[in-house]
Amino acid sequence: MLMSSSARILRGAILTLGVTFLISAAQAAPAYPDSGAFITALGKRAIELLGARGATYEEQETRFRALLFEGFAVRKIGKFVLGKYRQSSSAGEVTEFLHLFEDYIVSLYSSAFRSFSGGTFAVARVVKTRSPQDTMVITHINPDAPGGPTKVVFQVRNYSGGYKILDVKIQGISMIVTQRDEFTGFIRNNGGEITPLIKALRKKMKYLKSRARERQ
Amino acid sequence: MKTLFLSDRFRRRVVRTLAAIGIGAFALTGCATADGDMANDPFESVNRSVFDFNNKLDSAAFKPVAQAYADNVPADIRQIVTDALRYLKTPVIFANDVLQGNVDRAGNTLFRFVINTTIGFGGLVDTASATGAPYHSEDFGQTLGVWGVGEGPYLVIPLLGPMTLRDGFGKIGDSFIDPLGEINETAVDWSHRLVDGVDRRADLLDTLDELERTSLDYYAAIRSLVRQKRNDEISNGEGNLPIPVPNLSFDDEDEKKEPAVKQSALEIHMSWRPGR
Repeated sequence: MLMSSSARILRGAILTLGVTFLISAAQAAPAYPDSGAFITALGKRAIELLGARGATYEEQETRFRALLFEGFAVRKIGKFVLGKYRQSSSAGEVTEFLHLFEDYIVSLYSSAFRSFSGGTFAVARVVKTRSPQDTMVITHINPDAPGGPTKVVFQVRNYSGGYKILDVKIQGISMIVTQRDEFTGFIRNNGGEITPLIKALRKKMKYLKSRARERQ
Repeated sequence: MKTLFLSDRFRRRVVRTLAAIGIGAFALTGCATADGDMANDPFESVNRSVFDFNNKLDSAAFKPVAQAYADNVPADIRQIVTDALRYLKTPVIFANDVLQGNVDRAGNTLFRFVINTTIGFGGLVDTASATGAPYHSEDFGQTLGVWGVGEGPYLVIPLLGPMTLRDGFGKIGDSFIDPLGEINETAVDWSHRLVDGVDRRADLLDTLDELERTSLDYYAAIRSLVRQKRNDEISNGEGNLPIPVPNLSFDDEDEKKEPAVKQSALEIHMSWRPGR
């Protein structure tokens, strides 16, 4: 009994020390020498996370959400996908939309990353752009596949606090352009107001969540 | 007999061309009245109706056939069908490689043709890919894009599906290049189209299902994907330009609000939960 309590205390102490150390490490300045290293580290963590055995779907999604917020400029993407309708919407509407969009993007991106789980992942090259802040990180999923690798390009912005992903292009298809075209198309087709989009997004999230639970 | 053959072929192509010009003229008239919207879809209302019609037809006929094909035909056999269909496109691909002045890709296509004709059992096996000469697609729509022709308005054609006006003209251009067009046998022509359609639809079964489930506006999502995919094909996958995302001051404030470090700590903390 005494042994068991000591072991528990020791285990707790080690755990606390470990967590404290890792939190300190996370709070330090980003340890990535360039955007390519940032993508490599983030990609590996995402693939490991979604391929982890034993975790429930909800646990995986919660952890993926944290990783997504760490690596992606989610709010900026949310504003971008509203296109010209962001300016004609009220601050309250935009905030409500952004809140829903965060859930939507987690669901969408985790599904996209899940489809790549088990594959190999390598940064092929990093390309500078005209904007001094942005770089394009070109990666190959399954480089040795018979039909050739799947090309995934990350648009990475360098903020003073570190890197954030603005866009992911899979085989030439930009996630944020597709979402912007879809959302603005929807708004234009529904009276030019953002409210129907918010309603549709809420309904879609309800559907996606129930589907995820069924699939579990 | 020869005269009749030429006459039939000529008539068929003239009808196609006139139909296309008709569509083109109609579309260009629409262009003049378009409001300069980014979607460049002046016939959106008609297009959406045709899109719905095509989707219903797809659900009733094309998708079940493609699903049955994917479920019942072994993957190896499906690969042979895909390889054979790609092999049959060689003349069109080669001609367009040349028209685009892309010597490397024309050489690649020629090399693939020689390898796949000989040790690829007459085009049934894509041996060339394994030797480092992967397949690439080219068509006259892409060539027009390389030549700087604008994509024109977005169109959804009954049965044929979505395309830009430029690609509509591109298809006509390819029909003049394609030696299969020389075969004056309707059965052969339609069999080839049917197998090609089923093969391509089977490839897209999961992708389109997922897109339809997750999108808020399936029509607008497809419109965006069609355009982006074509632009990627025109640039041969080398269009690595960034999407211009403005860096406004209030956005930067938002970035500061995004709880990156806090979330990271949360994630690490969760992964360290006892019993994990």
